[in-house]
Amino acid sequence: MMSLRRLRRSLAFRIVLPLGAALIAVFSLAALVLGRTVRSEGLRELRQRGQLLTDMLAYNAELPLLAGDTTSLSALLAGAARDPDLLQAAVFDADGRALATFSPSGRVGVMTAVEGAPVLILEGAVSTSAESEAGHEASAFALEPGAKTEGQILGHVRLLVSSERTLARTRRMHAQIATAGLGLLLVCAGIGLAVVRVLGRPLQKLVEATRRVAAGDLAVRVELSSSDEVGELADAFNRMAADLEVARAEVLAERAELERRVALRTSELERAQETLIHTEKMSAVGQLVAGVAHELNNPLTVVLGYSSLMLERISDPALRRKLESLHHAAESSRKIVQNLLAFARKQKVEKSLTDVNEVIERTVELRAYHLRSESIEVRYELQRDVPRTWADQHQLQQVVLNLVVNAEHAIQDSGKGGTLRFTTRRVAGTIEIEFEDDGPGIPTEIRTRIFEPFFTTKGVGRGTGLGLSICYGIIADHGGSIQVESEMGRWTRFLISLPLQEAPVVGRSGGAVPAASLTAPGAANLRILVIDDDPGVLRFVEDAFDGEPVVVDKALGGRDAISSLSTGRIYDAILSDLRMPEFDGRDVHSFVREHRPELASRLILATGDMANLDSLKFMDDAGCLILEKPFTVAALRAAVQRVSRR
Amino acid sequence: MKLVAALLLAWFTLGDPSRAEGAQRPRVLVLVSTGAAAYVEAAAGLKQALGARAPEAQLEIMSVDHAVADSNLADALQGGASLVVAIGAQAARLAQQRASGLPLVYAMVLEPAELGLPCPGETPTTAVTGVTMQVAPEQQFIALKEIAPHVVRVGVLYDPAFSGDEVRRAQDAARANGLQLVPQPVRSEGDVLGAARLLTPQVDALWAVADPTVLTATNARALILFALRARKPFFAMTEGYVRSGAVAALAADPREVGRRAGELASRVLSGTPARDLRPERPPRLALFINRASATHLGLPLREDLMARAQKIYPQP
Repeated sequence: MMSLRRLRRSLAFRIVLPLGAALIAVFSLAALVLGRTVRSEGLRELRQRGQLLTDMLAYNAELPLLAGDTTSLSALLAGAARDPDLLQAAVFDADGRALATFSPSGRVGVMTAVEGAPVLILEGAVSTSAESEAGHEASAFALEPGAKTEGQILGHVRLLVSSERTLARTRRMHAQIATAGLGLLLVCAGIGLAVVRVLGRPLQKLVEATRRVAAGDLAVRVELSSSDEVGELADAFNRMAADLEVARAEVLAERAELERRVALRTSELERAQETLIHTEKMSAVGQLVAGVAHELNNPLTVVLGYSSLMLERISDPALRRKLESLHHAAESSRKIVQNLLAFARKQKVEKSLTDVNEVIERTVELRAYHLRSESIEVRYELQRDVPRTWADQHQLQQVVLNLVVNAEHAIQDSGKGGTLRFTTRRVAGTIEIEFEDDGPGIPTEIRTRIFEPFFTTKGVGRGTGLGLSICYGIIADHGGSIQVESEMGRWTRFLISLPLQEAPVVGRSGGAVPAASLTAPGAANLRILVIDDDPGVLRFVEDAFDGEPVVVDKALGGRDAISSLSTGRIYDAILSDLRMPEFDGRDVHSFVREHRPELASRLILATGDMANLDSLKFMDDAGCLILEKPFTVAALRAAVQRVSRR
Repeated sequence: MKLVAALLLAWFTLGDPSRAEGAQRPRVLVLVSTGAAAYVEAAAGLKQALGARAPEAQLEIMSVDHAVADSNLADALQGGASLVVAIGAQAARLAQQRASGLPLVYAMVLEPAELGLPCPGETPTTAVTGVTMQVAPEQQFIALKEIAPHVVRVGVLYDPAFSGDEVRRAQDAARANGLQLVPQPVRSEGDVLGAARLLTPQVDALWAVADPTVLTATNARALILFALRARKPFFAMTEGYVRSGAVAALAADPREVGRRAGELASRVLSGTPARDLRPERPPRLALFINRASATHLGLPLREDLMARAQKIYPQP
């Protein structure tokens, strides 16, 4: 049952009811006006007709009145009785005597009006006039009601006319109008119900459907079979709902995609932040390591040099074993320092167009035996059209080797064998190398620390903790990035991204001077100038050529060397430390090129400071032979021998 | 009207003692025009005369309305009538149309010529005779002079096709009585009022002849009213016009006309051929006066005239 409030808001109530009320009001007003008009017109017509009859009687009564012919008067009145509204008729003479009367009912009354009675009293004078030139016709038909009569008044005609029939006709018309109005009302009600049925119910369905859509139910559809405007509206609504449904799905999908992108971007940002932090941390560590390595290089040069020198000169087996232990320890220390410098990018980079796939396959081949023995399978998913890039293939080989060895150790710990998978692909302007093993995985808490120098989870003697840090340094040195992902107990994946670089247009090889090979001692009268701020290194070099035809001039620092160089003395080789206080290797190089240019090609720069890019660049530009600290006696001799030949 | 005819028939039938005696007696079919009491008077006179002169005759009186309706006339004729008596012009026309093979005696016909009937003074060419309502102009002018002595010029409207001879005779009669008859011919019914408008100012009174073109029912009333408005006396020739406003009329006495027609009928029944019997004028005249009209016209009426008048209108 429709509530009253809902009924008031319904289409039927707001359209049909006012329309019906308006129709009733208009019809009632029209009926009232029409009824009054009909009544007044009826009475007016009755009065006109009665007056016309009166005038006709008055005219026709002239002759009978003149002749005193009451029979004709009676006949005249009887003729007038054909008017159904005539109640009484009478003809009076001039003295007011009734000469003839007539009543259809046979009763002749006083012929006076009664207040409120539905009768009209009409009277016409009967007159005669002298026949004139105007003629008989003019006076004979002066019959209009109220027309002025001329001549002698012969008498009067008086009629009593009933208006009952006219009023009854009016009442009948009222009844007919009322019946018609009732019929009209019923028709309106029928039309209204039809409108409600044809229009209201479908609209109600549409309203309900719209509410459901507003509530979020976009799957709702309006089922209407009509093909009219309402049907079209329903179709349009259904299309709109379908479009909304599709649009909402698209919005949701886009929102999900956006959220995914935001999450991805956030993750990337977090990773970038972590990478930044890590990079800064690694950079700081690198600086520290570089400084330590540099400080260690000079003592190590002395220790390694003397140990190798003594091993050449001492033949006592017991002593040689001790010296060998010492030399071995110094060599291990040198390697540690070299690795530290490699991590801190202190090593010299030698780039060439490198096939990454070839590097991977060749490196893995080096470890093939070990891998097979540990039941580790290697799978390749290498994109063959990956272009070659400008890189140091030896460093890349070291990266691959470090990763393989680490994975090998991890799988080896599980004792179940495993699988390594290499994947390469070109992505935009980069080459991506993906290395995955199905080892035990890396715990989340240490995942951010694995690239730090000396961080290791391996047992003592299985790693120095520098492998991944070296990888990190190498890849960073190539302008790329290395990231790790892992799921504990299932897999670990390293993702390396290398920028795709073409070979430079103009290359140089001046800086890539191979280390001098040791030549046979005894070459005659070589004079070398050794410049270093460390007296231990000066003594070691001097001792290294002890007993050989080599004159060693020692200069403790750059300024001290100037005096030697200013003497005009010829040197077959000048070995200068690069990093010295006040007057360093660069100054020495400049001085030589300026004041002793004939000796420029015989300058050997020794340094352990490969962390400073400016230094590296200088050494490249200088075109001098580089002797990397700590160096051995053999490396020293080879270098001297090499430049002395220039 | 039908009621009057039925009463008339019943009265005459019941009043006829010879009707029950047998069918061998000659049957006389009496057709009576409707519309005037004078016809009833004439029928009474007819019955009275036939009763006295031909008591064997069996009268079958029938109003025209009754005769026309329901084939009553045909039935009556098939019964073997010897004679037809027609009272009034309407009855005479019906008799001519439906019973032309029987001798006809007409009565109360004002204008026999209009119906093709022989007029007074003429010798019938067929078995038709009768008594008209026509009054001799001399007698009418005498009466006119008695009622309106001041009248000298008397106007008359007539259709020469019908009343030319009578008007010519009337002119002589008028002259003989010191009057000057001013005739105004008309050719059609529609000319009457126009002619009256021309004629009235020239005369002292109007006189009517039984002219069918002039005295139609409408024209007669219009002429009477016209004369009253012009305050000119209108002298008519029948009582009906006096009742309607004509100041006076010297007319036939219906009962006497009926009686005289009965006498002619009895002679036909007794073997005299109808064509041997010339039509006659009314044997006795009656004076009718309308006092109201006279008063309106300012005509003083002498006591002897009033006493001599058979009927004075309006009737009390």
